[in-house]
Amino acid sequence: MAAPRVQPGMTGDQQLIRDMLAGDERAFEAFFNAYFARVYRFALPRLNGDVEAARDVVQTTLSKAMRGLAGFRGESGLFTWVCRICRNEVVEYLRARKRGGHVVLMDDHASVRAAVESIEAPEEFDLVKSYGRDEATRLVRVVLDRLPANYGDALEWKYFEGDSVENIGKRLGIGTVAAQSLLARARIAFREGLEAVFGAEAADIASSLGA
Amino acid sequence: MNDQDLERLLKTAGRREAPPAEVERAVRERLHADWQAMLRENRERRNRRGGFALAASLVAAAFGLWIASTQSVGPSAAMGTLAVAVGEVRERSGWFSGWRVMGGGDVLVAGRTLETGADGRAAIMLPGGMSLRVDRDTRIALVDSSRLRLERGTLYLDSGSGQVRTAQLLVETPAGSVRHVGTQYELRLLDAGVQLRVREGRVEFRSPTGLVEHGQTGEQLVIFGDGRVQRGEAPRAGPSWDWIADTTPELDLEGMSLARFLAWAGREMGFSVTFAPAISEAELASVIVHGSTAGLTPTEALRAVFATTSFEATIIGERIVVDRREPI
Repeated sequence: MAAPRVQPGMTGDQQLIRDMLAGDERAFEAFFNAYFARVYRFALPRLNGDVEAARDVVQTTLSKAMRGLAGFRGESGLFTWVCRICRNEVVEYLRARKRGGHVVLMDDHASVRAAVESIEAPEEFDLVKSYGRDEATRLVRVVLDRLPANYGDALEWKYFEGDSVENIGKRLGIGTVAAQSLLARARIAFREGLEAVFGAEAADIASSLGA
Repeated sequence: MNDQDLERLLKTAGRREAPPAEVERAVRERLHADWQAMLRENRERRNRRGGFALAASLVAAAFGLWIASTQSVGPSAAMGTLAVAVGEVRERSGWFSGWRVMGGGDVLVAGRTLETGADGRAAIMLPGGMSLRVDRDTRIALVDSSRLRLERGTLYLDSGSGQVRTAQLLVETPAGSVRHVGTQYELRLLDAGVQLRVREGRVEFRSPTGLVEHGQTGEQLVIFGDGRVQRGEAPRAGPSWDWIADTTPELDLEGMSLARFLAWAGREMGFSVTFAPAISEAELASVIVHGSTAGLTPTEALRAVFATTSFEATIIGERIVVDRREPI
């Protein structure tokens, strides 16, 4: 699928919203592909791994987000806004079914949540001690999910699948040069995201995780 | 961090989990159906409310004309703007002229008659922040800038939330006239008289024979042509008020405080607003909301706006109760 063209003065999110509200099937696909998996991963651990519950919550979240798109102005970033809706939906879901003991994740704590959402660093850093190894690696994946969807995908394609830049460009519907540039931006954004969440140099994070 | 560090870190963290294919398929199908339904609804709403944007700009002009008309009332003085037209809404300038179909954004002129059909409803923006809603099968003669005559059917007047309230509107019926004192009320013409329901504030009814009756919040008065008056209770919210939500003009939400939005929603829905002990109205006044609630009823708008905040609004009886959302 070719990447939607962005009109001057509009962000990609704004263009996507406009096209989707105009009934463009490609925009619907782009919206779904950009948000479904990431919202699912956001919801699942908060619902204690209940796949069926995650399916219902994600369905409701995306539906509400879609219906509220006309009102979105892009101040917080579309994914952050969708996550906020999802967070509320998780609470509603658990409350409606009178299930107590919902899961509180590290990135639901105010300081980490603020960091994830606004990329502001907490003051202290003690990675494994603070978070535990599993939680720390999960937070690395959360950071990946918080990047624009095509950044996270491109990084995974390159570093997990060993995909070539040319092929990544084809998968994103852009040229090789644009893919090269996108990858460079993705690396920077990922590194900055890690540093904001963990409050340390990305290289130190890699070392402390034994990477 | 170089390329190799990045690769090692990503591999240590592991690949992000892909949702199960059947979940993806199910959500995609349902979301697509929902999207299609939303597009259909938006198209229908656009058809119904297409002239609102124009109405918003015209109302200022209408206000100017109204100011002029208070100096010298003439037959062509503008009285307001048709903000919402649902179904058949039409007007005519006199007995010998034909009916003209109206749409959102049309200016209403004194001396004309407005009528809604069996499927028609309308919202009219009047100077001074007043909002007039017109139910199905209703006919109103626009007498002049401060007076109209209900000839058939039902109307609802909201005199505004208190900032402006300089304008007065006298509503005449064959049984008598109604004057508002900062209020929201519904007036229904009956075969034998009128039914008046006061949602908020106070209204004064005056018959041609000199009978004067006052209605207060939550009161219903049926005033018969022979002077008898039946008083009863009228709930401030509920299904009997639902027709008003069908004609709610769009709200300019962008940059509005959550407190102000809440006041608007409460007023449109007929609910009072209360806050949980740990929350103050001032706290909500500091939260600025963005975007629009285009195409949403007040109830839907309340849900949509609060869904993106850390507060929740629950409807309990005739109150909207605001509390802090439970953190997760």
